[in-house]
Amino acid sequence: MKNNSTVKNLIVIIFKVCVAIALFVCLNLLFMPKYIEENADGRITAEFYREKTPIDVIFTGSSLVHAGISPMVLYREYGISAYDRSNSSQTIALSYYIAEDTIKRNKPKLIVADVGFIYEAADYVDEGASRKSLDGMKWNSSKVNAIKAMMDETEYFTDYMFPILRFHSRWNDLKSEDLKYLFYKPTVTANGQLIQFDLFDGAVSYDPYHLDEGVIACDENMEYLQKLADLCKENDVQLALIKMPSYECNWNKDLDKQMSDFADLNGIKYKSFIEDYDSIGLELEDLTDRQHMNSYGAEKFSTVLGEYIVNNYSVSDVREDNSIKAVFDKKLERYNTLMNEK
Amino acid sequence: MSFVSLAFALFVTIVVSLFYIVPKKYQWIVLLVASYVFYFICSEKLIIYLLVTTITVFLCAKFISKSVKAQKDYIKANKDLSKEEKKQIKATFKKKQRWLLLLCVFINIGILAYLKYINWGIAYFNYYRLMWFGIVDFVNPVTILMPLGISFYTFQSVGYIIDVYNGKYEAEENIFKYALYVSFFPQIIQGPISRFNELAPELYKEKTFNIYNIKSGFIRILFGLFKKLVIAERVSPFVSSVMNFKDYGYDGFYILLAVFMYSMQIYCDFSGGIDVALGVAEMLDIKVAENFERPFFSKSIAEYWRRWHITLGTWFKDYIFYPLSISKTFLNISKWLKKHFGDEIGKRAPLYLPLLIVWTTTGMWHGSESRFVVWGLMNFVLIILGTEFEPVSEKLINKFNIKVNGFWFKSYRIVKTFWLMSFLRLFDISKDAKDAFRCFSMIFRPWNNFNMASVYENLSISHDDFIVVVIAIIALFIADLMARRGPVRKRVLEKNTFVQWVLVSALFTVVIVFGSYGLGYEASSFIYGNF
Amino acid sequence: MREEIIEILQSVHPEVDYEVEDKLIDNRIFDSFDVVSVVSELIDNFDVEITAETMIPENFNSVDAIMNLIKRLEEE
Repeated sequence: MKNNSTVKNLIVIIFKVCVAIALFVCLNLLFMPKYIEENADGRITAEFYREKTPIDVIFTGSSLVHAGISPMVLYREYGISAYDRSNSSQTIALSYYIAEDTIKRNKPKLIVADVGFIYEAADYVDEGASRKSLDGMKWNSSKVNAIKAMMDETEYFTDYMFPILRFHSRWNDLKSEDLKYLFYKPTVTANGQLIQFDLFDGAVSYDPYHLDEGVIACDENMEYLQKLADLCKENDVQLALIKMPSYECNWNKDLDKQMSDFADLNGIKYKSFIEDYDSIGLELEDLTDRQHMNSYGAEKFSTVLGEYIVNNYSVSDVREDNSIKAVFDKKLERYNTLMNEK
Repeated sequence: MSFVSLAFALFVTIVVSLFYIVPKKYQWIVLLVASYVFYFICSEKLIIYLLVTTITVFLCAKFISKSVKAQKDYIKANKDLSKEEKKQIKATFKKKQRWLLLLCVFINIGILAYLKYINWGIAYFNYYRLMWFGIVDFVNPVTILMPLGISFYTFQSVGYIIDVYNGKYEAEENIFKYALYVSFFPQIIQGPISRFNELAPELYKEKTFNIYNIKSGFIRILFGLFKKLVIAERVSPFVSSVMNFKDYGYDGFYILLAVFMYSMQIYCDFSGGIDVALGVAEMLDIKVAENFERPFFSKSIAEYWRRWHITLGTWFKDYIFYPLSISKTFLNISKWLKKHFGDEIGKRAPLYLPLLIVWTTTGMWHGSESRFVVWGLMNFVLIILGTEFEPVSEKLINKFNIKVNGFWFKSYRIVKTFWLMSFLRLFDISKDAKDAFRCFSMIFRPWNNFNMASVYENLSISHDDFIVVVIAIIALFIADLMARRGPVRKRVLEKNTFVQWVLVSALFTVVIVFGSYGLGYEASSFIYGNF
Repeated sequence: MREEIIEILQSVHPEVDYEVEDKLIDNRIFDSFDVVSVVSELIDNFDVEITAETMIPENFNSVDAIMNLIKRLEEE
């Protein structure tokens, strides 16, 4: 009899605790920015985990990547299965952890790392931007290490464990969006690419080497790049270093040399597309601003990039596998609809 | 480690769990270890000050206690002593005891005074040397690292040794137990200043786990965090902004609003911190003296000081005011004055002179700047005015037939006291005493420049934050009104489980969502922390 | 002695019925000013030494308590 009531009490306590935890989780979900109707780049990291088909090629890097590389074009033209895992202001450190996380889950054949952000100082942190990629990551050691690497002295690790502690001051900014997407979140990217058609409306002169001469990547960033190269070598994943083209590039020739030297030393290739601006056929209508391509630009550049990948790296044509082809054809159909909406 | 951090929450969780898991006779040891770990995390090597105070006071008290006992035994053993002989023997013993007491108080108050006032002294020394002798050779200020809670634990220790000296109780025999009394972690940062005979038995008693204490303590902590995070932290930038911009058109009603908000801020910050401290103690089933008794409902300044920072007030009353006012010196002064200046003045001397000393020291205790001394003196003047004008106001009350206990007259006195005390706080937020007086006068400039849009735009508080503050203050007012009939949390815990859960989760959510903390808001350490 | 004490108390607060009241301090009828006034009068009238250690509420709550205190101090 007594035993019975202890068990009953225990069940009641466990039930209460579960309800409390569930409510707390909901509170966290409610206050977490949804990144759906605006700032959709915050969904890129999280959406990757929905991908069930094997992915051969992963892109890492800054916003230039998810604006300018279209995995769907790569599939359409070359049968490459690819995914953008770039983020706004993704530093090389973050690229490394994203690559590590990818290899743990879905071992790709090739990682294409855009090194465009490598000149930033070692302590460069855009808290808002790095949160967008970190919050989307699933919990594992890569995420923990990534958070530790990206956190500055004003932040607490617990803010990442319980987003409410970071985002509670959004209380006066909550919208219907926050309730609508509390549990269900629609897919907003096309394999990591953000589809957009904004046009650049400023006047600017073509400036491929906008960065001051002599600026090169700091040791800490080069260490992360080395770690990335080692990681790929250990796991038998090919690594390609590229520099995305744009109209006004934060880049210089010293960086080019530094990257080439690094690539030579590690037996990999580095390719800058900066000077291919014209041969790619990019025009002002293909830009949203002086640096980012819009999705028209992405179409053009991806065609060129795909050719470079196919010629230099071993990736398979997934169109030969019917089950993958079926999935990707569907994705392509959605991409085409999105592209035609405009 | 601030009270408002997840680290502290984790620390408390571990300590409370350990406390109820270990065999009961080791419970106090858990507290001692926790207190020293806490102190060490916060202050690292400054813990040496705490150790010096603990050891000197413990030893001196022990010797005094021994002597007091020897004195009693001697008189008992020699019953046939004459009254005169008894007096003489007492005097010999007392002399030794007094020396020990003075030595101990000198060391400990000396450390406190040195740390708090050395740079103040150096500044004045430089100033007067320059003004009077024209010497420009400045003495450099000393770098001082204030040990956490030194004002609080020093006062607590001095109170202890005076009590032992007075024979109120015997000295503690076990230095570790005594060390716990001095360092008990919930109250080390900002009090309350406890009495040994009240706190010590609570600390050493064996405790049985009772979920009621955990719940009640938890609600108290939440409520403390509500006051501190939702109100105090939110209005703090507004108050500083007004003080910064008061010469740029933000005078008149802006200052009045800032004065009001600062009262809210300091009350919420300080009493909120005390709520956290006492809530933690309650979880450990340890009763600690209350420090606030809804002070903003006081009807006079004297009453206010019996209800605000209560343990500091009673400390000054018991260890400074009473001993001075009934000391031979002051009674003789009184007699002399009575003879030469009449009864009225003679009667007041043993009251007002010690009170003047009490308020000067209270002022100095609050901060090592002249403005705090002026603040103390202003309190002194207002209390005396209140006492002196009592007969006049009583006459007026009789003449106009005012109901003293009626709602309106009571409210009038409460509002009057609130505003008087709020205006005095201008000394807290001004640069110096002169600035405080100037600031006060600026309130009486025209109020037509006031508009809320300008508050939201330029004074570090947004429209939404302002609404939250107003609602929270109203909620606090209601809660304090309800607390007239005993602690609100006790009444919450009489309700059924479902209601309890709803109320507690609601309070928890309010604190988490509406608290001002996180990026850009590093919940600053409690305002009273470094006093 | 009792009358004398009551007289002293009445000089401070004439409106109180000292035969009945036994919580002068606890009920805050006397504040610290009043206590000091009473004590200085007691010292004058009874030739006793009242020190700070005796200044606790129990010793001043009623006429009887004060009387006991004086008796105790006289004996010492």
